[in-house]
Amino acid sequence: MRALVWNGVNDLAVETVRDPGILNPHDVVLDVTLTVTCGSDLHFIDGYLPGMRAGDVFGHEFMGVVAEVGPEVRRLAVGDRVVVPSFIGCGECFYCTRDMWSLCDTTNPNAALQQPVLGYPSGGIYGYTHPFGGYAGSHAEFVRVPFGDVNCFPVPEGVSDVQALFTSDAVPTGYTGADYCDITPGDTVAVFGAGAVGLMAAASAKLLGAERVIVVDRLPERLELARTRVGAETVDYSEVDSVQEVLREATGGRGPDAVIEAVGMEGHGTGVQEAYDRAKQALRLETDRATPLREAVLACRKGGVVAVLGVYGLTDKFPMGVVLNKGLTIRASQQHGQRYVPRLLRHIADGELDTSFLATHEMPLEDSVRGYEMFKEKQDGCLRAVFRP
Amino acid sequence: MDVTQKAREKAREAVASAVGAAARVLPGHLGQQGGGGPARQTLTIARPAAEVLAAWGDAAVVSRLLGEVASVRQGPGGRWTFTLASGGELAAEPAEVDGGMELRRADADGPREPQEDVRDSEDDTEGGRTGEQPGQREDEEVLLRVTTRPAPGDLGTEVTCEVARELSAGVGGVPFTLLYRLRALLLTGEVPTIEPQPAAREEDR
Ligand SMILES: NC(=O)c1ccc[n+]([C@@H]2O[C@H](COP(=O)([O-])OP(=O)(O)OC[C@H]3O[C@@H](n4cnc5c(N)ncnc54)[C@H](O)[C@@H]3O)[C@@H](O)[C@H]2O)c1
Ligand SMILES: [Zn+2]
Ligand SMILES: [Zn+2]
Repeated sequence: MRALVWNGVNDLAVETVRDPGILNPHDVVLDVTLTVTCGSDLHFIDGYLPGMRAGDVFGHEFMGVVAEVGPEVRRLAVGDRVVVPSFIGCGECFYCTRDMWSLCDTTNPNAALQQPVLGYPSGGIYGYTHPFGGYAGSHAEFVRVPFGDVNCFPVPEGVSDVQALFTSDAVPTGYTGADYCDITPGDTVAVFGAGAVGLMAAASAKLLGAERVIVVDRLPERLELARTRVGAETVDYSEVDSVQEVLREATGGRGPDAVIEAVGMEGHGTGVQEAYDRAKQALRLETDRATPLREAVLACRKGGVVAVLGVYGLTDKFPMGVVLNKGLTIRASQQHGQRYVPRLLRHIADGELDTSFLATHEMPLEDSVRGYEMFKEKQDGCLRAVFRP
Repeated sequence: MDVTQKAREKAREAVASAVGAAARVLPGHLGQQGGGGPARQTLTIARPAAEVLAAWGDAAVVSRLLGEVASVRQGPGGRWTFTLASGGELAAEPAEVDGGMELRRADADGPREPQEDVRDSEDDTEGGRTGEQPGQREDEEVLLRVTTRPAPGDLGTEVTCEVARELSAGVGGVPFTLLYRLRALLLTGEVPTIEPQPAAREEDR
């Protein structure tokens, strides 16, 4: 089959690879209908996240049609149209049974690679480095899905392929962030980053009852989407001296009740701190440019919640004193998609959640190298490039 | 030391430990480094001790858990033979111990006599210990030891696995992987795997 592979830093190619098959009895093989870029892929494309091997098929946000089922699969049949969360759960372990699916204790074949770093390894994920399991990714004609019964969610009629696609990763991630904010009526939530994750965090905060949502980014086309498709207020951080000050003034001097960080380790900053972070990241002395994370902590009101969705590695200069003295609660995780997908599909079917506008660019898988270039460089207003294998 | 220098050293350490760990557990790198004694790790498995120990008593299961490290078969008279991926064979005989089981090294003519037990024999005058660790010689007779204790609440069983140097290269990655795979097998009926699967440059893997 054809697949998009990572051959090295900033070196991608569509190549012919072997087809996946059923390896374990609960496996399903999916005929991929749609598969899409995610900001998380940029971390290893740029070389900041180690653990890829040349020739790895990547991609983790996808939907498709069941093509083959293993002997122990009970709830799925060939031909079912399904969407699959990016983290692989088993449905049986301590974490899956407590709805913390990305922390699954059994689905990471390379758990021993993560143990020295994390102490307790995360679950597996498709196409996202060997320490995260080494599973082949979804930017391919077919993908193997372990534990099909708990990881494949049938898409209801009335929800299109493109709408369902984003409930694999971007929407549940954003929703996780909003859920972590413990929103009560009247709350103001600020969201750093207007990528697909940030926009879905903003939309979810509205769904969960936030009165005001303020989105911070610098890309005009993304801020425009935040206003027109989500109903958020916006701040262009490149136009203001201090985002913290703007947010404080906009909230009567109190600060937002919660802040969602949806940028991650490639975040931009300004001034001396930016120069310091860039130099250190270039020398691989620090994996992150953590400006938005620091700003989120500074901007949040006292006693508020900072929900971190952006992916970080080794961050230094984290303002712990601010967290302590302001009594902040920090919540962070990789997304627990299986917890949210059914309710997200219902919100979409009921017309309460709009996801299709995230698909700004659609193209055949053969053009996916170009798709990643557009996505990475944010060319032509590219928010997400969707591939059809 | 200035901030940048400190950060540089910290980052170097972190990377070295991650890379080292990766190198130690990736197939082909086994047996290269590690400490002197057996490697040991503990995991909690949400199953009764009897079920956990039944799995360890089954050579076919242990062979599955060892995967790329060695294969195991059980011969006549209950003797187990380990065929190491790095070449060579090891013979062992199973024995019950308190709350667990051991696979003790065997020679052609039967189990080896344990050497003199050094436990408590080398206390120095201040009550500390010198020289060999307690039970060290005895440990050398053991290829694999599994012990269990009840976990609190309804969490199941705490399982400790010790693996001799020939099988573990003295690093924790191997007993951890054995326990991780066993937990997966007992909870889900599967051992997670990614082989074979699609990839380009397969010839380099
Ligand atoms: N936790 C999870 O499970 C999970 C899942 C998916 C993605 N992610 C992470 O979420 C983050 C966002 O993903 P995405 O796909 O939306 O990425 P993206 O690259 O499309 O969007 C990131 C946005 O952040 C903006 N930005 C950069 N610096 C900023 C700053 N200082 N302040 C405000 N905005 C800034 C950029 O202009 C861009 O619009 C990434 O780090 C990604 O790895 C996490
Ligand atoms: Zn993602
Ligand atoms: Zn699990």
